[in-house]
Amino acid sequence: MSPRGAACYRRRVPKAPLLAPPGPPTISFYWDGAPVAACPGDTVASALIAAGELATSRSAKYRRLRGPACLHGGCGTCLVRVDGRPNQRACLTPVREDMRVEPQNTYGGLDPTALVDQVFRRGIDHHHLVVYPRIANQMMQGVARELAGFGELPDAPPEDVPGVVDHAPEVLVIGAGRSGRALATSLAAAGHPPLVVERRPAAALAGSDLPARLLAGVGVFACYPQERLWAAASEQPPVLHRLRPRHVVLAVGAHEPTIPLANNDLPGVVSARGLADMLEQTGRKLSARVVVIGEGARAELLASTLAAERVPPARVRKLIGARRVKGVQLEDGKILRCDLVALAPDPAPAFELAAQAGAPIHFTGAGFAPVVDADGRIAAGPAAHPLEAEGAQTAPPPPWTLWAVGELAGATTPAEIRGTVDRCAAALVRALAESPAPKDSHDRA
Amino acid sequence: MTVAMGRADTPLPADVDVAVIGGGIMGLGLAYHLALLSGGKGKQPLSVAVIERSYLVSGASGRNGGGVRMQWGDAGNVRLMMDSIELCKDLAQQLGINLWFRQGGYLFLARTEAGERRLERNVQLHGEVGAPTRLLTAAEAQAIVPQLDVAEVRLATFNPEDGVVFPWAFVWGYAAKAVERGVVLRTHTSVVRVEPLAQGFALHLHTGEVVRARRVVNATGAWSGALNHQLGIDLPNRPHRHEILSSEPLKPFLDPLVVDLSSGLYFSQSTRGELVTGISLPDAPDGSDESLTLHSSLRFLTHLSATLTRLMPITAAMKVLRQWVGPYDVSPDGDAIVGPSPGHPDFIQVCGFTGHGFMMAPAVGRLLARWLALGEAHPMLARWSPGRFAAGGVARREDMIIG
Amino acid sequence: MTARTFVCRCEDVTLTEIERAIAAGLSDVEEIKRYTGLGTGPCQGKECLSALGRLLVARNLIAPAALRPFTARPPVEPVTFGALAAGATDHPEDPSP
Ligand SMILES: Cc1cc2nc3c(=O)[nH]c(=O)nc-3n(C[C@H](O)[C@H](O)[C@H](O)COP(=O)(O)OP(=O)(O)OC[C@H]3O[C@@H](n4cnc5c(N)ncnc54)[C@H](O)[C@@H]3O)c2cc1C
Ligand code: FES
Repeated sequence: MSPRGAACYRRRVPKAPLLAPPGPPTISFYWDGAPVAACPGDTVASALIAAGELATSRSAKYRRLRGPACLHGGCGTCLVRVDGRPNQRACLTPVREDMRVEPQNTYGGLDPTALVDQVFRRGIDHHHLVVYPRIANQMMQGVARELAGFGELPDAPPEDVPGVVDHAPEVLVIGAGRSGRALATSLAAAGHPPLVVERRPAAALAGSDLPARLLAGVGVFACYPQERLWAAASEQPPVLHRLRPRHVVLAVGAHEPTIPLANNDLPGVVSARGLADMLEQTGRKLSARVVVIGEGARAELLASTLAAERVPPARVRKLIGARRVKGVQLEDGKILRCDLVALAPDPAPAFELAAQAGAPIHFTGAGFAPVVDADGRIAAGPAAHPLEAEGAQTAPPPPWTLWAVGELAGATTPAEIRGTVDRCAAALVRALAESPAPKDSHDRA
Repeated sequence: MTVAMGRADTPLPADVDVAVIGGGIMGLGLAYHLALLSGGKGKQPLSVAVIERSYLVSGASGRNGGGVRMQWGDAGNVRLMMDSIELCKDLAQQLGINLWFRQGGYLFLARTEAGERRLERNVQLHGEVGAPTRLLTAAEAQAIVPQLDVAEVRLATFNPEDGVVFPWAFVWGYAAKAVERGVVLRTHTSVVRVEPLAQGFALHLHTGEVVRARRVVNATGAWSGALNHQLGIDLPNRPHRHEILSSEPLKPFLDPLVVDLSSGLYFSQSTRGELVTGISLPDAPDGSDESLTLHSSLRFLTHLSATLTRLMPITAAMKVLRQWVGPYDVSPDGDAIVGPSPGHPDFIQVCGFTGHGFMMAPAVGRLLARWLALGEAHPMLARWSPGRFAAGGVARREDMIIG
Repeated sequence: MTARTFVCRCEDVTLTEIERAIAAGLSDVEEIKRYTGLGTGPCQGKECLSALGRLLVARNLIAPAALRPFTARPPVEPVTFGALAAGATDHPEDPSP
């Protein structure tokens, strides 16, 4: 049975829509062979959720149905096949007329291997699964290989010719979220318009405060301090960007970590923050019942934005549903019926790029973050790897200064975020005044 | 189910017969075989302790590509690897853990005349030794990997017995079984000083503890020089950083491990579906640098990608999942450095395995344990002798070292 | 359907599996990552690493001040071999015959 081409024998039952469109849908694309209506501004994920299509794949080991969850490009469970390309993030892919979007790893609607879930009630220990006898072990390995993996090979090699672009901006801002945009506005007002790089495509960026120099749809994927550059790329067209900035501001926000609750992986269990942002972005309105699970002021705020009932995680016994979430069962046995569960954990700062740049990283209680001073400045140099030989040559200090704003700098509320942006902007403008860029190297792009 | 991955608080005896420094595949494979052998034939069991500085699989054994092949250019290596592959076939059952050993073969591609000659010579040699390697035309190579662009390929070889493994599980498996048979395994503890005694050595640990051992095995791979220098042992193996990466997981599409001789590019698909791939960088340092750094580079990514997408165009639409670095422990003549150290016969080296120690470890662990416990000498031991460099003029026998 | 609590959904690592690894003596983030597979899937730890950190701290297995993340390996955003190929400066040819 082919994991693709499932549509030919799957009878699609139309599902109750969960998000109302902002206006009449004008775009139509194919989901697993059947047309889905969408609006300009929709991502594949928002259009699918709106249509009540919550499951997009099956998981590798337990064969459980999974779908978009963080709605923010961070969790990796919304991967779908788009026009013959595997593993595209549904939550970051804008809808296009007639695009063909397919589920992955689902083997059609019927999954004989869903049995796995029943057979291995106590879990699969893949290290010690069917080790004996040898013949059974070999068969098991063959089956495991077939079930693992995710998407299939692309249909064809890409036709676009790849390109490479070098940039030497005075200031590089990574991320065009709330804090990145505010910082770009402040710096531009002070005469230092930064280059802003944002992984979300331009079509998925709403708002009037977009920075003048914006690379959208380009993800900064690494800092290589030894090579003295930052690297970014877009997938279509395939372009590599090498960035050699004098100042770098990380406005990369935070990840939405999972909350360990029973059945927290059901399709329809999403991030409250991701859902709220998606509604703002697409102009869609909730027509679904939502329960928010979380604690504290942030969760409270998100629950009111989503007009949803909120319960703290400690009161939840489990989430219920089989092919999608149907409700929340509380410790006292009471069941809250719903169509979507929105998790509102304490966000975990997106510390990864800072760590690659050599920033000292600490545990905040919610997640990991770089150590920053009051202005958001990060003292970072290429750090020695713990396994490197003693006396390993450490590279010279990097040619940039490094800063963090917003959630990465420890802010959680809009007021705190604004505060980190203002302090960083002021300090950066001072730094720029103190050491103006050498004329010849200024802002080659 | 056994899980014994060593602990930082395992009590260490004050005296042992054999202390192994380094809990990589070499150290633990040896400890496992020593535990299997010793105590047999009415002998006193040997007491063995393994001391590892970090967590298990933190060294090269946790950072390699998991390639296992008998396609070598020298008869001694081919025979050794035939033994090793034979051992691998039921090692999962011996060790009680899944090793994901999959014999999808190794496909070597030659794009130059010199490469073509090497492959022709190999096939003849393998035939003499009994390894089932065969010559393939470019079209036959493409039948095995349909996505290859074979326009430049002149000749290929394929050996169906070669394959790939999931490296970490070997280390955990050896560790668990060795511990089950009485080996003491201490992790997160480094040996900071080796002090020669009248009989054996005293190992000073960073915790302040001291362990005395009748014989000591230096199985610290790329880090072995630091300990050797303390004893005035001067060996020419040097650490060298080697980069590698894995791609997003895809459904199975690639059976063999493919090696492009011209560029040193290799790639295979793991059980989880990831493409695991590395390449030699054109002007990589020769390993003469004592200081080992483990940073990843963009240069590796771009160089590998250009080579890979040219040979296998479909990969241009595939994504990189993660890149990392591990140390090769490079020996100047390409042969390992195994046996008694010059001047310190009870300080035993198991080093210098360059980029192929993982696949050799099952056979090496067994032959070395036989030598240590029973005095049986394997023919490779003479060739691997650490003393060979003092005599000068070591010839390079092996030209099939990849990466 | 069996109720399961996931810490890492990419690699299907449940709370039970983390607990087993802890019971076997593992308490280091790098070790737990390797033994359970947590954080090695498409999200590379964005969703699960902090959850694991909180769990280890909540169970007093490590002091918050001593807790470190596992290495943040590139790439943190997906990048294709195709895009990367464009950046090759040296001609990818023949270091050895
Ligand atoms: C990127 C890469 C790809 C590779 N691909 C392959 C392949 O496809 N096939 C193959 O067969 N081989 C491959 N290799 C080579 C293979 O990994 C090594 O040859 C093998 O793992 C060496 O094992 P080892 O036990 O000697 O070293 P290691 O695994 O490095 O073990 C040495 C151990 O010693 C410890 N140590 C160091 N100093 C001290 C001290 N003072 N006190 C206590 N402990 C100490 C270290 O922490 C380490 O764990 C590859 C290597 C790399 C780096
Ligand atoms: S990555 Fe798309 S929903 Fe998380």
